[in-house]
Amino acid sequence: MNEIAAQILIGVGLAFDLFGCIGLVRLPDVYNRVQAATKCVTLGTCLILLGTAVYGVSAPMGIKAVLGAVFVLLTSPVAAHAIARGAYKSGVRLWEGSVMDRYGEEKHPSRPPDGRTEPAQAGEPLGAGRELR
Amino acid sequence: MDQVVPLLVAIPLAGGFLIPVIGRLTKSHRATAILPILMACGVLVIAVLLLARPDETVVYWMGGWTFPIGISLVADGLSKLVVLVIAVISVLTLLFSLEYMTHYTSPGLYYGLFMLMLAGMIGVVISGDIFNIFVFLEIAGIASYALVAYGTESDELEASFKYLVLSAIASAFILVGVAFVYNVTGQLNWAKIAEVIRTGGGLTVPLYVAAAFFIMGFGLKAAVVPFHAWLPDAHPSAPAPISAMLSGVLIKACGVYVLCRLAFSVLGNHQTFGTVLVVLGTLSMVLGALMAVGQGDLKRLLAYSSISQVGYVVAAVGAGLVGLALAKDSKPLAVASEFAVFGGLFHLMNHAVFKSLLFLCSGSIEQATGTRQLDRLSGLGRRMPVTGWSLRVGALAISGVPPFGGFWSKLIIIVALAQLAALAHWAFYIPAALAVATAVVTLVYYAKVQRLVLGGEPSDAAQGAREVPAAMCVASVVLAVLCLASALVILPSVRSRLVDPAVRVLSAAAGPAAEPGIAARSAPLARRRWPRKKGRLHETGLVHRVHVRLVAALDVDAGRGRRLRRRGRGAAGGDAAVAHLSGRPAQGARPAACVLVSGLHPVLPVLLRAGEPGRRLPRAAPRHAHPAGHREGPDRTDERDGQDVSRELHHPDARHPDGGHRRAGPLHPLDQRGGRGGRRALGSDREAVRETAEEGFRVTTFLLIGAVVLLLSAFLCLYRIGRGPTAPDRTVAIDILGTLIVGFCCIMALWTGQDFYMNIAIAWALLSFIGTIALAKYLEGRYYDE
Repeated sequence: MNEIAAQILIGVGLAFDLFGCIGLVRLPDVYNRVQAATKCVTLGTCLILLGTAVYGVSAPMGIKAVLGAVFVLLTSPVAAHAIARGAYKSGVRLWEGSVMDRYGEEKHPSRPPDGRTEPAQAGEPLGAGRELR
Repeated sequence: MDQVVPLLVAIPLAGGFLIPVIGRLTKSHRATAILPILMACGVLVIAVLLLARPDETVVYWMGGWTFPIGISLVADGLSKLVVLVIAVISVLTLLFSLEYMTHYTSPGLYYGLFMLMLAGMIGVVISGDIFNIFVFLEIAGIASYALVAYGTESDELEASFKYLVLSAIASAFILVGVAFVYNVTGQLNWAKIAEVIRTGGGLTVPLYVAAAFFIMGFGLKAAVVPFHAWLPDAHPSAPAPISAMLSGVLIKACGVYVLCRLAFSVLGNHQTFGTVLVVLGTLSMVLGALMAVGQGDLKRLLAYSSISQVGYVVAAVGAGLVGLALAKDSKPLAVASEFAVFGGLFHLMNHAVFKSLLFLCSGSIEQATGTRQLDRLSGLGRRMPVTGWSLRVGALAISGVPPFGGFWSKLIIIVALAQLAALAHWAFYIPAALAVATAVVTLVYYAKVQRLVLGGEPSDAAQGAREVPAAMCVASVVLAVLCLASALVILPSVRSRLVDPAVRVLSAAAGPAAEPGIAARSAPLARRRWPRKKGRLHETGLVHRVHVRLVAALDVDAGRGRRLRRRGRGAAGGDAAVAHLSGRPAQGARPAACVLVSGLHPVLPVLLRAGEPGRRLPRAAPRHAHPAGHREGPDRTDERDGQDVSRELHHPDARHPDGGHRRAGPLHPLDQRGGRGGRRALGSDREAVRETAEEGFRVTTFLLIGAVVLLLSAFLCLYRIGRGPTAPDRTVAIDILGTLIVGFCCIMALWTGQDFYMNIAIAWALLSFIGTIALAKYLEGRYYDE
């Protein structure tokens, strides 16, 4: 029974990993990629780790797997956040099709809220602080 | 069936005389080419037919004369493998020649010489006596001197002359060696020579001298390093299809094959001979690669790379020989040695495929652009898509990039060397490490080739380049597909047909370590190499555990489980051996190699084991560390009777299953079997084995699929890392890759039952996190300071 549960967990996890990576390749800009890939792959890897724990090969392995899952669950969003923030601050543009830019609005309320028009007009990256100095 | 063997030589030999005549009669190049292609196809068909019964040794006595007058042709597993490789490559190179040779004159001579060379090579491979090897060697050699000089430009003639002189020296050495052997043993047939040597108490001084002559002679033919000077001139000067034949198969059929045959089958398991081969092989591996880096001529670079790759083969085979010589009664060592030999032969096959492909591509490029100087070529990837992609595949395969066959063969060689280092002598770590380093260097210079030739804007020379005609493209594409398909050889079903018989031929001749009672026999080895160290399991003991587990697994098949089970609990053979030996970690720490080997060892059983699914090792059959019975539920509760209890009382092991198994990870198939078998009638014993094996197979397949999916995902990440376009994109991809690796570690942990992998997973997750944060912070601060 455990094995079947574990195999299902691992199988679903693998599927998430794969989809996340497809997202990483297919999506148009770094912000889309970071959210798709991070969410999917975090979930996927956590599922694989839990599956490993459920498999119950040995107690130490199970404990380590659960610890690993918790660790990944905690660190992965932080890392993704840091990357997105880094990207935004270093001036990577949003995709033309993006519909909102809350961070930019908060930072620079004077700017028009619509992220779509802004870079096209200004010819500058939307969130680039460099130009605002 | 045995009547077809002489046809292997007779068909191309007849071609060698018929085709020049046809060339006189017809002016058309293509009309001349038809007959050789048909003949090569015929040879290929026979080679495939012979492989229908791979383990059978076919002996044909010419003209019905038998020993001692007759000339014998012998097709055993090794010969069949090499003949198949020769046939495949020659069909494809002939197909390539169909278009490529149209800008040379006198096709009749070309195809005639080609056929003579083919006859010579096949003759060397299937000849049963050592003097006929010399004769066929000369046939192949003379044809190839002429073919190298085929363009009759001054540099081609010079290269051909150099080749001729050195090759003639080699032939002289070989002939003297043959004379020595005949003088001492009175025999030429090598089965008889081997017999005389074995019964006559091993090698005497004249035989050592003969062996030295053979190493020099065949080493020259194989272009291993101190004897390599002719190859970088000769191979590039020949027309491209001939370069492909020379580098792809001639140096192997006339050099490496005969060295293997002599070292293993004729001279017996001799350690010195093996050591010399390892040293020479390692030298050529490293020096060939280093010399290739600086080359500006594409074909010359390929020629140096041949030296390097043949070095891999020679080193692996030599290591196998040393291992077999040392493995008097140690089965793990014998298994590791056979693994090394397998790696060598597998790499030989692979190298034949990808090096021919690369030479054919260089021919296409030379025809399209008129040059083969790397600095004058660029941007061909767009201009010549088919050739470009074939070249890419060939370059990736030879640099050992994962999905291709070249990766697996190099991996196997490296792993086998590391195993031998752990089991036999530490010095094997040197070739293992150098093999890894050489693989990196290889990647570097082939990356250079790809970047210069395929990438960038088209250069002047490449401006007018167009894709080459269809026949040339087809030959390249088929070889490119073969580069990928050769990876299938690691599958047991393919492997047991193709390479295993060859390995068996060699290892059987070199003196087997047959039928050891595993635990007992491997114990002395363990005692010698792994002094007892009290305390918990040390990871460095892994290498050894792999072996014991493998051996235990092999024992299940050999039907010796019953005997072992009677000695104790089911665990007596396998798991006890694991537990027993795993308490003795390897002395000191050899972390790198151990990580390497333990990382690979889930693959090993799949690789090492032959054939049918039922015999496959249920590697990961994961269990709780409890007696197997608890898991099974209602269908067996009625079978749990007094017998079970009494068993547990009789065997103290069984009372503390947890203590016994914690260190050993998942229960080994053997003791699952023991656990089940004990509750069943002895008659259903086999059924239980099959059941366990099938279940294990299912689980292994599941994990294999998982690993493949993760690899695929990792490739997607790599694509993003390479593609960019911005630094944050790359950072995301690196982060995701790190997370995927954590998942991969889980799969490995399940596969092997080692919680060691979970440590790696957690450490990796931590590193990946820290690295990502650091990169992100760096990005943040790059343009912006607030």
